[in-house]
Amino acid sequence: MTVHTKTSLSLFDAALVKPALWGAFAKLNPRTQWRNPVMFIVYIGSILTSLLWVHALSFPGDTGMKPAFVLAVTIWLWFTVLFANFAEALAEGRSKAQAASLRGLRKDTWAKKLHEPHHGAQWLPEQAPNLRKGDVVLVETGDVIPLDGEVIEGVASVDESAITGESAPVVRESGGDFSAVTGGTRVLSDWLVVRISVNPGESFLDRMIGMVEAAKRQKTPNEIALTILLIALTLVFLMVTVTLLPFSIFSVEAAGAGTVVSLTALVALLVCLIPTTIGGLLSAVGVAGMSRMMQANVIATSGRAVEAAGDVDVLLLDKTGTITHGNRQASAFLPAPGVTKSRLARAAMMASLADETPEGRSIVELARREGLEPTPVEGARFVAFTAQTRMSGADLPAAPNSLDTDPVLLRKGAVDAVRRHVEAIGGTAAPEVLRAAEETARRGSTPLAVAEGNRVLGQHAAGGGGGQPRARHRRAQGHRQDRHQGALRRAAPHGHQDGDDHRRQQAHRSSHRRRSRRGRLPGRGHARGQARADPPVPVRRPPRGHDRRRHQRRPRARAGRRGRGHGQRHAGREGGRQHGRPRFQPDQAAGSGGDRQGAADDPRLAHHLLDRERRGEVLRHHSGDLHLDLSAVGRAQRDAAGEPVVGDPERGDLQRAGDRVPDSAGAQGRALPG
Amino acid sequence: MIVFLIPLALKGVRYRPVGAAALLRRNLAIYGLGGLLVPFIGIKLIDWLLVAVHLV
Repeated sequence: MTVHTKTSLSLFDAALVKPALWGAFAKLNPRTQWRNPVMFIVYIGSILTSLLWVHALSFPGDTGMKPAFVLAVTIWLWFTVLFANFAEALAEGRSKAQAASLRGLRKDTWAKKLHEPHHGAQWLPEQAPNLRKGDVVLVETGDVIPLDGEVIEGVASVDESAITGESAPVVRESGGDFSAVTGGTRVLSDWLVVRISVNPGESFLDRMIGMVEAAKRQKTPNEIALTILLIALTLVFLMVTVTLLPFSIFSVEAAGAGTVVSLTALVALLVCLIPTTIGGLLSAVGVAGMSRMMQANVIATSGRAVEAAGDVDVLLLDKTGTITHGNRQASAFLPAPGVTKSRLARAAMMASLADETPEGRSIVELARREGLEPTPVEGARFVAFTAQTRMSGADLPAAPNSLDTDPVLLRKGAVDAVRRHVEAIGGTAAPEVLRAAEETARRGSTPLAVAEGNRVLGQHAAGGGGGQPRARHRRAQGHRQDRHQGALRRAAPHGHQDGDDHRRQQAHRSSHRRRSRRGRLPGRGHARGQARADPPVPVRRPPRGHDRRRHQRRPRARAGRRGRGHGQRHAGREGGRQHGRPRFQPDQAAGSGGDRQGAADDPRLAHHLLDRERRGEVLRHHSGDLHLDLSAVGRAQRDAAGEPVVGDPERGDLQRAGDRVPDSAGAQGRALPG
Repeated sequence: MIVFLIPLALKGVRYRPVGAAALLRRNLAIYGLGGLLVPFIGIKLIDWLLVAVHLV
C-alpha cells in the first residue's frame, strides 16, 4: 500500500481546531464520558459544583461559601473536562484528515456506462459514484476503473500499483481467476468490459478508508492496564475525600470551633488528587499513536496494532513481482516431426529479434548457442505482443526466388494462441506439437509455440531452470483441445480417441449415459449385451466390521474388476482402471443402467428403432435389469421423445407417417400405449 | 495541566533508535522526574500569582 500523506498537518491547524472545539462540547454526553472513568469523576464533580453554585446563588449565606469561589472552582473543573475532550477530538480530527487524504486516492471519474453488456454497445458517460451494482462499463486504454467489478469481456493490462503495490502491470481477463478488477486502478492497454460488483461506498478502497476511520477507539492492553491503575488511584482518593467530610463535621462538633469543610472544596481537592491529566490525555495519545503510524505509511487498524508495531525489529516482505521479477528463460527447442531443430531455432530467433523481454532475449541467446547468427532480415516487420493475441513475431518478406509473394508470418506465443492463429490462416497444428506442449506444461515449464506461415514448427520451452522438457505427442482434434486441461489428463488412460472407438473419453461416456436413459438399446459400448443377457446379480453385502478381507475392503478404490454384490455399481474412475479394460465384468451390470447404452454417438442412426423403444414398443423392461426407481421427472426424461413435437409419452403419442413402416412395432403385436 | 500537555500528547516523543531499556530510562528521567518536580514549581507559581492579584 503506497499512500503518500507527506503533507503533515501543523499541530493546531485552524481547520482542525474548530471542529475539535465543537467536538469537545459534543463529548460532554454522559455516555461518551463514561468510557473514561477518571474523567467521568471530574465530570460528575463539575456538575455537582455547578449545582452548588446555583444553590449558593439562590440561598446566599446558607453554606457560608462565597458564590464567586464556587464559580471559580466550577469553571476550572469544566475546563479540565473540556480540555480533555478537546485533546481527544483534536487527535481524532488529525486521524480523520489522514483518512480524507486516503480518500483522495479514490478518483471520482467518468465511467463509460454501456447500454448492453458487450463490447461495441452504445455507452453514455456516467459519474462513477452514480454507478450501481450490476452496471456494465467499458474501460479503455488510459481509463481508470471506476469501481470494483468483474471483467466479462476483453483482456487488458492493468496498473494496480496504487492498491497492491505491484509495480508491473497485471493482465486481467474475463473468466478464470484473474477477472476481478479494483476501482481506482488504471487500464494501460486494450479494453475491458466490466460488470460493477459493488455499490459506491462498498469498494475495496472505501473499506480501507472505513478501516482507518473506524480504528479510533479500541483500547490496547497497555491502555486498559493503565486505566485500571488510574481507576484504582481515583477510588482511593475518592474514599479519602468522602471520609473527610464526616471527620470534619465530627471534629468541628467535638472542638466546638472552626467550620465544616465545604463540598466545593472537597470536590476541588478530589480533582486535584486524582490523575486527571493522564486520564484525560490517554485516549488522545492512543489516537495520536495511530496517526503517527499513518505518517509512516502504515495503516494501524487498532491501538493494539500500534503497540505491536512498536515491537517490530525486522520487516520481511514476500512480494513477488515488486522485489523479484519474472525471469523466464528459453531452455530447449522441441521441433515438430519433419522439422529440423535448426529451422525451428531460426524461426524462433527471427520472431524474437525485436522482443526485448528477458524471454525474447533468451530465445535469441539459445539460438545462438545452436550455432545460428542473429542476422536481421531486410524488410521484416515486427509484431508486438498484445494481451489479445498473446503472440508476437515478425512478418518476413517472401523469399526472392519463391513464387509466393505473401510475406512469411512468424509467430511465437502461447500454444493455443498460435494454434488458433495457424488454423485461422488455413493450417493445422501437428498433434505431436500440442502433445509435447502439454507435456512441457505439466513439467512446470512454459511451452511456447512457434509458427512459420501456417505451419507450427515446434515449440520451445521456457522455464526458470526447470527440468528438461521432453517432446511427446498430443492429440489435436478441434474441440477437444479447447477442453480443460484436467479433462485431457483424465482422458489419457483411455488411449487414443481417434483410433479406437470404444475406448471413450469420460466426457463422452457421460453423454452416453444420458442418452441411454432415454433410448435403452444395446449400445456399442464394451458392456453391450453382456449384462442384459445375464440373470440379475443378487445384491450381497459384505459383512460389516473390520474383519473384511483385503479384496473386500475399500471397494471404491478399485475399478473395473470389482467384487460382486454392489447394487449401485460404479465403473471406477479412469485412473483406477486398466487401459482398455471393460468397465464391468461380464456378470455385472451397472445398477443405474448406465452401461446399457442406447445410442452410440448418433441416435439418428437407429432412429426408427429408438422411436419405438421410446414409446415402449420394444425393450420396454429388461428382465435382467437391476431396475432402480427413477423419480417421476427422471422417468419422464428417460421416456421422453427425442423430438417432443412429434411424440410425447406423457401425453400420448403422435406418430409420424414414416414410423408406420412394414417392420414397425405394430407387426410385433404390441399396442401403442394409450 | 492538560492544556500544556496536549501538544505533547498529540506529537508524541521523537523516535530514537535505541533499546527499550535505554528509552525507558530516558523517558523516566525526563517525564517522570519532570512530572514530579513541575507540579511543585507550578503550584508555587500559582500561589505567588494568587497572592499577587490579592485573591487570597
